[in-house]
Amino acid sequence: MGKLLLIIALGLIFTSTALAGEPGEMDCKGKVDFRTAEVSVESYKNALAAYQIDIRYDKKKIMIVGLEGGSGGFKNPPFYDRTGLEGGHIIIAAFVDNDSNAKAGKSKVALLHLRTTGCAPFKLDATSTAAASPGGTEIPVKAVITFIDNQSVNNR
Amino acid sequence: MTDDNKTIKDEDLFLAELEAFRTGEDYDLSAYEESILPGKDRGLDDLAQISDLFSSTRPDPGEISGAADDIVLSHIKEKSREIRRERKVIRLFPRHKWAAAAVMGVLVCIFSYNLFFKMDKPAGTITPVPAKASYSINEKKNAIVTKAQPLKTALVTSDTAAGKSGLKEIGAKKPVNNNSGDSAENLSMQAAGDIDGNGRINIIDAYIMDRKLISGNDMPKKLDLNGDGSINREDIDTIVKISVSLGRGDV
Repeated sequence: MGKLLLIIALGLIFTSTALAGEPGEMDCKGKVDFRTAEVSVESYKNALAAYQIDIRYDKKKIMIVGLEGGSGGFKNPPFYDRTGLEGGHIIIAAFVDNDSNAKAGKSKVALLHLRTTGCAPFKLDATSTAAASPGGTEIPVKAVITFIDNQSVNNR
Repeated sequence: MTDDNKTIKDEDLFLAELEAFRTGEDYDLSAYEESILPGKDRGLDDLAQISDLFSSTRPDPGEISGAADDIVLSHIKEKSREIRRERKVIRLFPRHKWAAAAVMGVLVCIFSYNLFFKMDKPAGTITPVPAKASYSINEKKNAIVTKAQPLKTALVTSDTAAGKSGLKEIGAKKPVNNNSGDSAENLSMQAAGDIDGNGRINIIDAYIMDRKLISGNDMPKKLDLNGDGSINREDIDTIVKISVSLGRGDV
């Protein structure tokens, strides 16, 4: 009898965990969210005067609906090709107007406003293809994209 | 009187005679027989009566009813079924500890999966990569000519292509080499756009040219990329266009 109860308990556990673990599959199907992602560049000890970032994303789940500048010397929106807003691939680039605005460490260079459809994860791969310190010397950097908030719209 | 009783009586008489001899008293055998022997006979009679009582109350096996048999059989069958069920469960889970461990393992896997793959997390974390790529676009086919492409095959885009692609705030007002294909002029312009001479045109070239323009230094005529006769911000915009442009086939 005890073993029968064990089997029933196992069944309940599997069922409950399956339902709990996949809430998104049922709840997020067709769901539209508007999210904001911050693009930042870590230039370590070098001041960042110019950057160029190649961003790739799943165009079935993500569309870029807006693109803003960041902070510091990169307040203005970066340069980009409009076809990249919903094509799964976009290149953004910018340089500072004045070298005094070039800062070392982490620089917030852009904000992406995204329209996401379906279930997470929503992944954007960022690759730095060019970066320079004041004077035009190439420097190694790390590009990072981080989701900072989202607003849900049930559109099923 | 049986032989056993007679033997006991003889022994008792012998013991009484010995006692009398030891104490020097006369003994009266008749009194002894009257006080001891009748008690033994009564005990045997009681045992015989108890035996008769049990014999009379014990049922004869032939007298058990069929209903009683059915009840007993059904009880046995029920017990047998329970035993078989227990054996099946035991086959599935030979040891409860292993079953519990399996459950815990599954739970840990599910929890880990939810924790690491169901969360929103930083989308891109890339190791430091020095600048290595630049982009150019073919004017006629609007196809990308990109990464590590030799300069001799890279072409400069026109405003028409730029208009389609919606480049932001570039501000080029004149077509850039509208009528050119793989002409030497294009190639020289492309080479001129590679200001830092690293074999690629990217935002760094635009940045360097911007700084040179701001400083007011004289610049070689080859930096007049759009061919308007002067070196100005439009030439910088041309470099930026090349840097961020995407071809249809590349998206």
